[in-house]
Amino acid sequence: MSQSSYDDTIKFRAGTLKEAANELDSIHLGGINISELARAGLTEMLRRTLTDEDKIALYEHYKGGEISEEATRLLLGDEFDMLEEDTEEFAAAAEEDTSRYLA
Amino acid sequence: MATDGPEYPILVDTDALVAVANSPLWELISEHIGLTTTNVCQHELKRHRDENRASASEGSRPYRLHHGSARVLEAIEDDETPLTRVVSVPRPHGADAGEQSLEQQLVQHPETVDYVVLMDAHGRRSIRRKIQDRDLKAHVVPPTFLFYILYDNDLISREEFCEACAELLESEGWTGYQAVKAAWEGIPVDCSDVVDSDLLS
Repeated sequence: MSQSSYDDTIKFRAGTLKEAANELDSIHLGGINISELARAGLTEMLRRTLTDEDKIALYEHYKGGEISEEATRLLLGDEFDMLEEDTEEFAAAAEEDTSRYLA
Repeated sequence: MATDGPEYPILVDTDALVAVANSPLWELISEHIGLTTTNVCQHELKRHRDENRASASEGSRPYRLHHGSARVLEAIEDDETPLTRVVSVPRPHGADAGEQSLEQQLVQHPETVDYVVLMDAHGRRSIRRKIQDRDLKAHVVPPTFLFYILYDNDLISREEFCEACAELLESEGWTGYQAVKAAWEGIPVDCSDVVDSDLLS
């Protein structure tokens, strides 16, 4: 499993984005937190980029211990918790006597 | 029509019915498991059947909607099958009317419902919240639960259970995966020898 820390950095070619961000930082009351905006923006775009196939592969990698729960949650958002809830509900159902539902 | 038949304690929505009606286990499900749906879901099934052509290419979404809905409607109209329909009053409208009709049935008659079966994970969460808020006892599960009932009662083998899950995975993408993974992890059951690993990567 990959280890990540808050201090890890991503470098990317910012182009005009850098000038625009610096300009807004200087004119916006109190400035802006470029790192925080970048984290939020990248999170949003990573989630939007995920296809159904990506989600399946990602969750399989998580279950196989190849990626952390934190990174899986970051990408899947609420869907991570929904899958956990479904699994818990199924586990509870599997404890019940299901023969009563046969007609 | 089975409208006046007994109400069975498993409520099923339109998309879940279509999904299992397209599985190789549908005949066994419709013959052996007592299920209840609503007139609103029945209406959605009729719309799916009528708005999608029978001749759509095999395996496509329109093909599955047409043929799956037609199979369920036949079962609702057949007095021999334990699939009953209740009437929702007041009648919900809109895009998720079917799901709302199940929620309404649950809230109005909580003592008659043990399980609510929905295809959509967001829908399952929404009804689960309603159940928690009202301190009800019902459980909300994906449609793979119906495969599990057959498996748990020795009406199908593990291989047949796994194959039905694999078909759901193939046809329903992430929605199918959520339904299948919850079953595999929750029961638990190992389908790795039956399911093509390409479906999971």
